[in-house]
Amino acid sequence: MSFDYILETRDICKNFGKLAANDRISLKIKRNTIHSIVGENGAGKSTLMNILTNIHKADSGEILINGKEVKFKSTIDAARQGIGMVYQEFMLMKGFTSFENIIVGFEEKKGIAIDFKESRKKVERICDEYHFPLPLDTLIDDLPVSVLQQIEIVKVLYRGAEIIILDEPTSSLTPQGIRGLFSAIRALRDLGKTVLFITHKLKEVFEISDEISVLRDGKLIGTYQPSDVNPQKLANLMVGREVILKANKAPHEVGETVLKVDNLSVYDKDGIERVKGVSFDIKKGEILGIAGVAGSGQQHLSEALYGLTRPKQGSSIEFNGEEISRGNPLDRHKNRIGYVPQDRIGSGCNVNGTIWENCIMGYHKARGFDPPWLLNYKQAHDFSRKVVEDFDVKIQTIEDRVGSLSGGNIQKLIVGREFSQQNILLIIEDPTRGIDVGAIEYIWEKLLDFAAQGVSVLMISHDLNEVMQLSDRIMVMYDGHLYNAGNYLELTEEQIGLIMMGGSLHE
Amino acid sequence: MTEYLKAMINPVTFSAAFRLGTPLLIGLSGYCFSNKVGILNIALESFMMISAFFSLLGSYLFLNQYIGALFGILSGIVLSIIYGILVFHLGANGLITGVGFNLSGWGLTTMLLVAIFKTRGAANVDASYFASIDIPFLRNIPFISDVFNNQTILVYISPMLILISYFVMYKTPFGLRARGIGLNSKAAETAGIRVIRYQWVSMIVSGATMGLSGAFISLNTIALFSENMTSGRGFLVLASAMVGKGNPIISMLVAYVFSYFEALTFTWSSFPINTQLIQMLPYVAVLIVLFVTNFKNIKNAGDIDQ
Repeated sequence: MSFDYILETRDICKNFGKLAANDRISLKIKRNTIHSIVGENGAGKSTLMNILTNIHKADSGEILINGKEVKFKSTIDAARQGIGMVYQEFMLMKGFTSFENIIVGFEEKKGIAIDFKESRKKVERICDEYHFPLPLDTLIDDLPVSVLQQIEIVKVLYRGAEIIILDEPTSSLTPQGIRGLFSAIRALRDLGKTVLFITHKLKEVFEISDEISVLRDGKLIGTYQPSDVNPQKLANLMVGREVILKANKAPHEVGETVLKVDNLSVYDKDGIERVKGVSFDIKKGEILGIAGVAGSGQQHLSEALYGLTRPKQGSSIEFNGEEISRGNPLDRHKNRIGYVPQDRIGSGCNVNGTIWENCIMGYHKARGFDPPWLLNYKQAHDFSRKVVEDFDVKIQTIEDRVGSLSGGNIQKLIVGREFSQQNILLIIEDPTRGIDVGAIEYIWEKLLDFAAQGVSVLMISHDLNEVMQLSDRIMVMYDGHLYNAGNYLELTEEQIGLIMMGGSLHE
Repeated sequence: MTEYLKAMINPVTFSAAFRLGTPLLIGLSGYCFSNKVGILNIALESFMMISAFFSLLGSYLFLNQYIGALFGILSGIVLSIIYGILVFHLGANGLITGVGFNLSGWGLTTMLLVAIFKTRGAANVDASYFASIDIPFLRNIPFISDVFNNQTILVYISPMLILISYFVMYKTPFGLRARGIGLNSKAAETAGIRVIRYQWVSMIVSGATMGLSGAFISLNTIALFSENMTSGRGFLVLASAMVGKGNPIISMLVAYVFSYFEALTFTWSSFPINTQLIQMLPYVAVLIVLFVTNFKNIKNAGDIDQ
């Protein structure tokens, strides 16, 4: 096998509606290397990988393996051609043993029955060769994440993978787990495999890669040797897009402390620590922006602040001097804390409900539409009309289903609902994700307005530009920790981008 | 009181339990796969009832009980195909579809009874049926003979079907993949498994076995069909499979518990006790079994995640 490139893509294009998720991507992967593919969320990494594994079909372009063009008809074809994918969310069957998980779909057969002996030998040989000491006969239900990941890797090797794609493999691992994974990846390369490593963590990229490719906005920016770039340069390549939107932020005074968070730690339901002892405070009238790549713990932070999940013992959330970390969302409403969740369809509203129902949702109990055990339709309708009017939600009547509105209008409605309750503190996640420019400007304007009137805002956003445009103070979340990133306009986008990728300004 | 207890361990009761377990076992041998791939099919009752009718019709027309059984199997397959198209491809709700099937099944068979056999309520027609078989080597073993001898071929093949089903479920790629689909269908897809194909195969196999169990209902030792003749046995198949979590052997044992209580209603009915009370037994048994097997879940009740 003398081809230089084991895998090559030529002009891969993929559009989702108007969005060009992949725009003429021509990538070359050298045999027997660890090739990192980096890029922000939405840069097109996952789409490209899904095309390589035939989950999506490319609109145009070619895939070459060992210099020969291949056409995939099903996911199994990609596996037959030697492409194996380890998904970020493991594709494992709870209720099966490790062994069953590895062989299912690709069993060795003896007549019509499974040849358990032969399958077992094959799995054991792989475990031996690549040093994965797996508990083959244990149900996977209670195995730790790092072992599950090893099962996934053994699974793709069992299926005969030559090219192993790891999608954000470190996101759910502990530092020890990451070290183990990296030595496994190196072992894979040394035994002749090719590894594609998808990540947005710069530190890891430099630790493990032989080559680095950068994707941005669906385009391949370039492929680099680690020796030719440094973290600063790579961050620039990843986030260096034009700032297109500008908010007219006027400087203003902030008041006394409203929210004081001390040593807050949050575990997710798998028992992994997602927020690691963060401390910060928000003053009256201040917008605190938290930037960071997705999955750094932002969602767990906001859920704990809003009372949806219980933080770890010893965490403290003080609101106007009162400890509230044990409370639930209803208590938060009573305290006048509002919340605009990231998932506006799933948790922000009830798409099957009417507009007026959604306008009073969550507040009918906290403050009551009198009498407290009966709905006062007139009051509810008047309030809803006011929200719709104040926030310029485009609707026919307030009896319309929320599901019939556009994403931007739904977001305006939810933001309007939370803003119209005389809240003292608003927790907002991605206030403008997926909505058009007009709606973005409107919501930004409102946010700045309310802050000027003395409302405190905690804004968690994956859009760095948004954080920079609106925030009085900026923090960056990385791997469950919060890092200071200066006041308004103190740092450049590149500098903050570097912190977001786990780099340090002083390297 | 002692006569009630004696009746409980009387070989006649066990013999009846063995016999009455047959339609449940035959149905389970196919439905366990549906259960494993995650199809909750409450239409089983109508599958069994309609097939029972067509088994009788087939046997009546050809004077051959095997052709009758074939009619039953075919009608079960046709029903499962209709159900599959509605639920898998047209997106109909499985529960509502099932209710529709069950109500129409009752109505359809009652109507056909009038239309074809010109009788209301029950048709005891001149058709061939499965007769009981005397097995010589069982004949002289006490107790065993009373329980197991002199049953029909259908009764004898029912545990064998369960064994085949168990083999396929746990020893073949088909079974492993079917089980995998139920655990995580998305993961199954990434393993190259065509989920819909496995759902269809399970669906049709369950239709065929429910059809054969229908043949037992109308052709076992007597050729007879009466209105609502299955009287909930299809639901017992469903309940057994759910309690047994789709494991054919465990489901079979659960089915025998149900059929044992059904048998008791016969042996106890000769005693001076309110018959309505006795007839409740099998259904109460279902509730008790469900309660006992799910007791451990009580502490999780109300969890939003579940």
